[in-house]
Amino acid sequence: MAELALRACQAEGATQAEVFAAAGRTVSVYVDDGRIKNVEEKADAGLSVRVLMGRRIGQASSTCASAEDVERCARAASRLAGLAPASRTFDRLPSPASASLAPNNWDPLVASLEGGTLSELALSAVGAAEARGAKVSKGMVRGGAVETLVRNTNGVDADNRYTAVYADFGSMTSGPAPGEGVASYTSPWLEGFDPYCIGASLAEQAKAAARASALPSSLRLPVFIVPHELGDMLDAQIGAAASADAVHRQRSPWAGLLGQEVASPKVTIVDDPGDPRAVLSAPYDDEGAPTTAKPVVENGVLRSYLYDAYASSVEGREPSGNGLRRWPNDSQYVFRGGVKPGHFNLVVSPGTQGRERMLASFDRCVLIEKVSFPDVNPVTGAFALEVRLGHVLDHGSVERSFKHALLVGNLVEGLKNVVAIGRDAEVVRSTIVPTIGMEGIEVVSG
Amino acid sequence: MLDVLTAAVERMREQGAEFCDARHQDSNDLIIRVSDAEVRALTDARLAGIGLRARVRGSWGYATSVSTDRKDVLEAATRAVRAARAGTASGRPFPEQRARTGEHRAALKVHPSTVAVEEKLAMVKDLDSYQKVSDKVVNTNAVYMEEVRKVSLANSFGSALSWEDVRLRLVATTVAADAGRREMYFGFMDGTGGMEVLRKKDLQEMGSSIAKEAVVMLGAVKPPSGPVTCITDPVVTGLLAHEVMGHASEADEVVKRRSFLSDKVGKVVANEQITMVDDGTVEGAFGSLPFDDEGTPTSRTVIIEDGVYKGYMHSLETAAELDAAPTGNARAQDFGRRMWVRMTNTFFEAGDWTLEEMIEGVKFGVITDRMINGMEDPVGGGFEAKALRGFLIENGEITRPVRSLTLTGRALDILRTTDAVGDRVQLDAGMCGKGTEDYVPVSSGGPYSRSTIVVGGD
Repeated sequence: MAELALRACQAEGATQAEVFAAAGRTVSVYVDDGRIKNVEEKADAGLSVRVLMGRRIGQASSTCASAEDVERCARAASRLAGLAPASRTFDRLPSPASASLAPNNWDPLVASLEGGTLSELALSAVGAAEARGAKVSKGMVRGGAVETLVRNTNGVDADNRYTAVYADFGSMTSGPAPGEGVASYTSPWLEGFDPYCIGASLAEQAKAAARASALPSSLRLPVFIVPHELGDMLDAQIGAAASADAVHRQRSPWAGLLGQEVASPKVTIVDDPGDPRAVLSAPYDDEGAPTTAKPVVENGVLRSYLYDAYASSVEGREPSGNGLRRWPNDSQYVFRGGVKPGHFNLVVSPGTQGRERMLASFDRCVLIEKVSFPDVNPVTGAFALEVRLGHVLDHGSVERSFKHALLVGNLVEGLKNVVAIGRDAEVVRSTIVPTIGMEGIEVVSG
Repeated sequence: MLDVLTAAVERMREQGAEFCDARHQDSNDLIIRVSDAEVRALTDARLAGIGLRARVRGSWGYATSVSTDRKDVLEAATRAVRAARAGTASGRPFPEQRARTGEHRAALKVHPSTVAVEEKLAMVKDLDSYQKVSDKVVNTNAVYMEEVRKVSLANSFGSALSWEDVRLRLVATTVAADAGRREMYFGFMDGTGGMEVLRKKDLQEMGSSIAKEAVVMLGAVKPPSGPVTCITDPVVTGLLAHEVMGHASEADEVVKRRSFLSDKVGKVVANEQITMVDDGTVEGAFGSLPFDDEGTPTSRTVIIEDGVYKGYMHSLETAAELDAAPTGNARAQDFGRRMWVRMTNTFFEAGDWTLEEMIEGVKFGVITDRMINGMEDPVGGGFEAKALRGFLIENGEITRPVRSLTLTGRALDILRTTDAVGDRVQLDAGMCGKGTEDYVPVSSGGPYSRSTIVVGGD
């Protein structure tokens, strides 16, 4: 189908053309109120076509069940290229180059999963939570297997395949003021999915949240954030700050700071497309350029931005192999995403201490376990998040657990004020992050 | 298409489905994105396929097919029933519903398919260029999004119908910078309907005013922290309606007793000035649609009336569980995703205060302006909304702009402190996820409202 699409584009007048094709199989089970409510077995296939006519660019994507669908998609991209004004800089799709990384993130067990197997795993997590006094009110376990292919008229021909297991559960205690817990899992591998551990964590969190109360007054103490929440915050913040596109558009707080200190010397962050723990790892990016591990921040110093083919054309340089279309937690319709410069896996170098020992070394500090939604303003780094479960710690012991407070700070500044980094790294979507403690963050009481 | 869908329904019935449906979707999107006078995306995106859903003893099985070939679709129907048998849930059978038929075209004046791409492209380029109002504007962006969605549905009640939705959105975003500070401001126009939706505003006025506000933001100060008198603008008022009261009124949360509103029907939950509805029939609103994804006509559901809690939004399943009528709120992101109870257009109705009267009565407080996002908390009834910015109110007058701020607290506590409800309702369009997935187009809104709310921001 890719060849058919490329031929159709050339017949329509394309000077260069690219096809990104993807086929996915996704099996999911959903838990409602401790029972398996939905079992889903889905398959899809489609492609995305990018056409250049000189510097004029058009794109189209489509689900594809027939040659007619493929040709229609190619014609649509060509028609739009014919209408587009010329780009100021972009005139070339990537050329072929050899890969240096060969990550293996294909789990045959995941590729052949059936709903019954996932149901058993989900019910094991439910049972473990119930045995410890919390019900699983909602939950989902998904196994996806995706095969992708990039071909272009310059000779790029790169294929990739990966599996993804994604789980997300919510628990609650009973009674008039229930507490809630959450747990998630992202990995190419089924083997690491431990339903008993997830169920136990769901129950303990929900019970702690039920015991938690509002803070009597605001706090300014070192604040530690667990990987489950910090991963998404870093994904939003560093993903945007290191994107060459954001830099060019003056939207990155790290624009113009290459070679300068942007974080504490304790902080080293590498984008590693070769890490076998991560779903998005791949030898080639989604434009067919070879990937490499890149230090983004090294001992606090900003070392590199991330480029796709378009962003690299703005600076007249080669792509860094960071053109991405995919997400780690979704294996459906992978072909639909547009290309953007982004990270595969932001790996934060862990510290030397486990979480408990690290927290015990502080007289008083705050540990944030759950916020409403862990996002950050990507332009400014500011955040103000509702805390749904936090703890005030005295030499590592829980002094009180709290909720209904606001966590207020700025992550760009917070990374400059890191007080400690744990060694408890976890995979959280497209980050691999340990617990990190920062100063300068306020906990505002209700 | 309907004959293939009907055959799939028959296949699922033969294999033991107590209820089943087959839904074909063919969505065609056009996306045009211009940034700093460069066309960054000119994209045609099509998503087409069939979703099959079978219910066996209260559990659902789903399967999909991107092929519309009869044999492929019937095989997928078999898979859906097999998947349903792997479930362990229980549930009441569905009462028989009226079979619905017919072809329903979108109500619009100028179908976007009749307008040249060149005209749309020119509109986006103009909107981008109109943002260059100051040297402090460092980045301009304009985006046009068009979705034409055609749906055909057959189900085991005998329904065989098809309908069309058309949605348009035009967004402008400006980034301004000065002395090491960066701020962003945005605005949009949108709705269901044809190109007339986007011809109601002057693009030059839209682009330049957004850019000027981004520059104003550079002088914004840190917002106050803690409980303050807060006048929420219609967009943030809408977030309270949507994120807390709305999500907790989705009856699937009630059935599994995950909603803090589970036992509240007939009880006073808010100040008597407050009435709140979900209404999928509002003409031109972004969340309006003729039928939900189960083929039930959308409707107006009163959730709170004069401060008294009235009831929930329903799918076929939750209506059966709670002995209620379906309200047309079963929605899925697309043919391959889960069907949930979802909102359409959710809003507080107007009171009788003018904005000026509300501001005059505030000694110290904030008034919000636009939202970034919000998050639901159906279990705890907590409210979190991030406002794009606000303004301080001091001694009855608006003084300085404040940077992005988050509003939080328990929703019922906030609604009990509401002492003034404005006299004009505005709706704001957005995409709503349940948890962090399954996005559907909605709108939410209300009037300016004055309450005591905990705020904070950096």
